[in-house]
Amino acid sequence: MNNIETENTIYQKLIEENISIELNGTWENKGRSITAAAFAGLIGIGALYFNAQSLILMLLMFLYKAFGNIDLPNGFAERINALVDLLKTPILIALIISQYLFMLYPTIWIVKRWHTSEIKKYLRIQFCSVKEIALAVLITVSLLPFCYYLSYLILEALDIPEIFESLSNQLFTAHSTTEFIFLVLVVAVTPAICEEIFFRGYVQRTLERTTGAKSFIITGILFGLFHMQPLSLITLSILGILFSFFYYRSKSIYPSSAAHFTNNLIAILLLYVQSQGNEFLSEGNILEVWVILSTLIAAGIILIYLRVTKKRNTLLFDNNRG
Amino acid sequence: MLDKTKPMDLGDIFSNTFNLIKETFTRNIIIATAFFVPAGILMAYGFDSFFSGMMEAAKNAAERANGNANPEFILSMFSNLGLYFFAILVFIVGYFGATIGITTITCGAINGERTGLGEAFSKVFSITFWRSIGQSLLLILVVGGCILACVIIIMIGMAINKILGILFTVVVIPATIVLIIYLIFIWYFAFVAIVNEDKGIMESFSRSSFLVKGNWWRTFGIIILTSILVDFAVSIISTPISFIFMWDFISQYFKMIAENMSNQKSPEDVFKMMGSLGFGFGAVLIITTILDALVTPLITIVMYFDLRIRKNEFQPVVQENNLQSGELTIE
Repeated sequence: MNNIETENTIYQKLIEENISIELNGTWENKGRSITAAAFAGLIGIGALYFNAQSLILMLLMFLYKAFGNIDLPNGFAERINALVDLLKTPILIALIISQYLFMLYPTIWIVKRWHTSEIKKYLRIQFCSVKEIALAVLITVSLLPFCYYLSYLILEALDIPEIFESLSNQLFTAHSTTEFIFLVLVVAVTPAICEEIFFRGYVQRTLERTTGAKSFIITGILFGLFHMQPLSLITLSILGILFSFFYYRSKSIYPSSAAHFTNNLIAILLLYVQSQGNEFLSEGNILEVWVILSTLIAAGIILIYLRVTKKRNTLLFDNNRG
Repeated sequence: MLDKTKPMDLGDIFSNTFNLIKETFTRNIIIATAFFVPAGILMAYGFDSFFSGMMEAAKNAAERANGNANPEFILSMFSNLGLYFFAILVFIVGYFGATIGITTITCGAINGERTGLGEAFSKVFSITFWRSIGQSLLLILVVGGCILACVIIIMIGMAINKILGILFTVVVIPATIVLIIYLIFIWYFAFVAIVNEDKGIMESFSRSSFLVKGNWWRTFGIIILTSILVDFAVSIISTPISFIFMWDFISQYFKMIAENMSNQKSPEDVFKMMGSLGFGFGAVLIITTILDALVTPLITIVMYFDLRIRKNEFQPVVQENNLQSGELTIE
């Protein structure tokens, strides 16, 4: 009885938060196309983010070259490896600065200027049950073997030399606990905040107003394309659709943020574990049976997630209609 | 339909362009495909022949060093070069055709008319086509003239005195760049004036100057900004497409780098890699040009109408005779 009452209080709180957003921004007041706002935001912030990131990286590399003592070894492979090691810190610093300054801040600015002063409500930075967050994390974890296997198959089919993968892994492999914590901050925490607020909070939320359920598919694919990594396009799009699905169903940013954080954390954790000599979940060691089993488990948890979110969404719909 | 009663800000330009893309998408993509695909296929073939020919030449040069040269490669290289330039010419013609068609359809949509494909095609195959070509050639001549004048001034300076020559270089080169940028943007809407208002070549230049005057910086800023945004939008779509179409080239590149890593260098791989560049490059060019053609001309048209609004060209006209008779008609 007590549980049901708590659940009803949560739903009531959500209903109160979801309705009555005052859309008083310039874009809204002028009656412009809402879909155009989503795409203008996506392209505008995207162009700003990538260009600013490149400039920051160039500046950092210049500073490194000007004040650092760069001594590259002889031999092509050795030079490339040394260069990646050398560029690791500037790349990660450029990533963290550009995510907060050129992705998160412009998103909040756009929401405030174009749409509403109730930024948190619009982005759906709002209450959500722990059960939904836990389920979203579980679904992501269960689906990861499938994603890794898929990307392994793609790399195998295209016959990509191992050296390329090891070079990109080198960027995200921690060799000490301090480095691991720094990597968690840059690779897991930052995207879970900045990319989620940008993609789910702004792009998907705005598209949802005109395209409804289609918005999570569109945003998921855009998320994949936006990373500009052709080799990972399919897996990134699958993950993007999954995160967008969580946002769409839960009407809160927390489940997708938690799922994104978990996905990135597991990736760097695996690289860290592998760098310590453990071959757990490395490409060749993914068992097909395990992939099938975990995907089935993910499908099962998705069904539970749908049931959990259905009741609340029905209440929300009835309330909005009323 | 566009609201022609008040000037637009940047947000209005985005929103109106987006609405126009949606409204004209099917017709515009048919026009773009009709012109760009045949021209692009020829271009891809031209590129393919050119790069293959170039690699053949490089191979021959390497063989010549060993005394095994085949002189026929020179003939084949020149014929490839001819095809390459012909393909570029056809592509440029296709570009003009597609842009005229798209501009006709979009201007119609802004004016609240539904311009059919037949009408758009007949506009392409009319005097408008030659006027557009003439206008572009004239613009190229003016820009080329500016560069030539710059070179002559510097040479005169150098001939008189070395210090004067350096001084001329420092002053004249930036001045020429500024002048060229100024001219390109002040005549930016000459093409739309030809298609939408049936202006002649010289008239189109003066029409564009009239519209841009007083709004030059605004026009410059918006065009630069929208170009960056369109480039980014096209690049996020074209990156995976390029990867697919240029796979032969990319895989060869991967192989070459991997061999370099293990210090097994093979010049054959470079020949293979460059030789496989042509078709993929041509295919990517078609796709990116089509994507660009669906957006860039539309932004230009929206800006052109915005400038016309700013020049009060759409103010309601109260007919004098109706005023006298006591009736008020607004056109």
